Amino acid sequence: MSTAAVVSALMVGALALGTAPLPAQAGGGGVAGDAGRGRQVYERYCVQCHGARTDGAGEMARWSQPKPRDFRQGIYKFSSTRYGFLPTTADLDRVIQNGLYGTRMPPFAALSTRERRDVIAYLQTRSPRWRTDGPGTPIAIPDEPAPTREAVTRGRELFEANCSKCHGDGTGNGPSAVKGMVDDWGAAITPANLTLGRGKWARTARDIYVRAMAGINGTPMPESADVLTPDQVWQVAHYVQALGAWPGSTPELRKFAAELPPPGAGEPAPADTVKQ
Amino acid sequence: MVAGAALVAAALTGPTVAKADTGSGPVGHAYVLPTAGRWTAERQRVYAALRRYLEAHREIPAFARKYGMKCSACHLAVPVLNQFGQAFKDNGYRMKNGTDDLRANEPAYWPLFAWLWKDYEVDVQRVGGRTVQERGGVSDGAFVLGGLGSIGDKVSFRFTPIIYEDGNTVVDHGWIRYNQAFGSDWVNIKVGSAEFDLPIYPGREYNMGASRFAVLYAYSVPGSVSRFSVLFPQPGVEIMGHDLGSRNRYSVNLFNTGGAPRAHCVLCSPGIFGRVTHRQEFATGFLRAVRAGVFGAYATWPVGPDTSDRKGQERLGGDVELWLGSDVLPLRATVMGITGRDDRALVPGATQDPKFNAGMLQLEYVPKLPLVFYSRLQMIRNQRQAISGTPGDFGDQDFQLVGVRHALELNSRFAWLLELTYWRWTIKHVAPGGANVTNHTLWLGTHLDF
Repeated sequence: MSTAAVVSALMVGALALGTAPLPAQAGGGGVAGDAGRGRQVYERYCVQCHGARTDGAGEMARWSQPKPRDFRQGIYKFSSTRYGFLPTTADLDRVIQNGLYGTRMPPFAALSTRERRDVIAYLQTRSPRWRTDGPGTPIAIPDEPAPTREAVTRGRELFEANCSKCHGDGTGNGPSAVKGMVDDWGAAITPANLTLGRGKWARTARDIYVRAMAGINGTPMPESADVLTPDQVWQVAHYVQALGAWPGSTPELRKFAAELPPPGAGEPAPADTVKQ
Repeated sequence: MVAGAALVAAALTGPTVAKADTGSGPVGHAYVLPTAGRWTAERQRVYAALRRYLEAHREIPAFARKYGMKCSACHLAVPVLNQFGQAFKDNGYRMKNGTDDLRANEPAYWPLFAWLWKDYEVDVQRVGGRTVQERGGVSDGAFVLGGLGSIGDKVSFRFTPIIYEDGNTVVDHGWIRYNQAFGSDWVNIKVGSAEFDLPIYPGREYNMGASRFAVLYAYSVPGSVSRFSVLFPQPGVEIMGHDLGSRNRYSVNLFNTGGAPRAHCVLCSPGIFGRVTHRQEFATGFLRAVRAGVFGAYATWPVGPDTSDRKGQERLGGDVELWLGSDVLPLRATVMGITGRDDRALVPGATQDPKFNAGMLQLEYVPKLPLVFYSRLQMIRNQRQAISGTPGDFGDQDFQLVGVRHALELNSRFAWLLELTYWRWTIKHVAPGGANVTNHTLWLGTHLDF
């Protein structure tokens, strides 16, 4: 039997069962998830860490650092929306698909779009915030300017003025980090080591932009939307990108950034490093 | 851990009920069942040993502890894999979230595991419609202490020796894998004794009895001297790859047919196996996903006085798997087909190359997490007999199986499973006089996974 015949037979069978093919990585096509089925998905894949009551107190929680989310609180760390707002469905889908690098949260890319959609629907029943507040609006992301030496230089200055208190020279060794930091749940937390070339959530300069702009809910990482202009945030993003082997960073800019004095070692940041 | 496991194994390998003669010829009745007292005593001893072991070793760094997942995350129903488990396996037992390297874990958990299984079995053999043998008793216990997982981002391994109650030891798997060569999921290189990528593997079956070796992939034509089958692990090199989520996959195995005379020398009995699969998911409707696969294999087996003459065997097959109703609690239907041709030199006295065709329908239904119902309907038909004049349906097989499996306990540390299976297996014209031989087996087994 030829391949075409096999494919044709499958498609006919699928249509007979009322199905519609779906690209594996699609976002769900706007179809609402089924919270009941989502609970089944949750109990198979998530309960071990996030707990039977979705309170983040599953069996594996005590070996997990950072701790699993308590979905009853409606506080999600990684979101494309402004600090304090609930994430979009796409934000939750991204975390489920990609996981959170370096944490206990693995990537669930093998789950079908329907499974992911259903479990998100279930999670959205677990906090009253989803009914009262609803998801936030994703922050606007202007086109990325080309990373240049000037942008990296400027980004270093902005980083020193706004980020080095926690992130230090980029490795997460700032004064606040040395003293010790905790998140909103009282758990010890350390600033990201940005020289690793990969964050828990961020992979690209665009991701760094979103994180810098929106902050990380429930942690001391603030949003900078009120402090820096979009151009300035891009400069910070390009400087961070040049600190490590982030996707999209060039060896030339990494070498250039390495030759700059580390944040905290140079002159005090000029007054115009914050948005007027 | 080894000492503890040995303790439990020793408890399980107590005296067993004598079996009746299992010869294929007609015999008298030999129906031997254990007394209730012996069964109860044995069960109590097993429970007590197990309870002591678990209570004393709750800190054991078990396989699941390294990964922090429940058994049911990877298994449709233990031990059969679901799509997430398949992707985990394809990734070399890695989560790929930056914690797969042992050095990334504190403390560094070794991905060790153990299985124990034990069963009560009743067999009835009928020849030409007449019952010739009945037997029953506790039998076929086995203990597996193995390891599988990653020790670094690039290196994964699996080593699974099986120790049967009768003293036989089989290394089910033994391989090391280099993950993501050239940084790509599409190139992973495995060296060692490994299973072929097929929908069914006997080490990952609901039923741990003889029925797991009865599937179509294990078939050999009547009279063949070759012991090759695509069902069992073969020593060699595997290159496999997959996309994100393992929706498109391929594997190629270059192997030296296991068990062949002179198989100890490299490529004395070479073979090749390859398979590709594609999974399509659907946005709406009762049909949730379809996975289709095709495979081909060519293996050689030495014949002749000095076993220097290699003769070939071809296998071609396909399979379609349908996920219906639910992704996590599905009705799964799998249709498998295979056709095979052996060189006539592999069958003493053969006058032509034998051919066969086989097909199987497997249904699995998981109404809730700890419970699974399963069934199989299989037919094997010899298309051309090796020896002219042999009845065309000589050695044809019909196999039917129904079973249910329930997890009494299913968590990140261990699973405790109970299974009840009935199967009927008919092989045509193989009894003296040309009668059919039919075996009926009722199996009640328990299975512990640590």
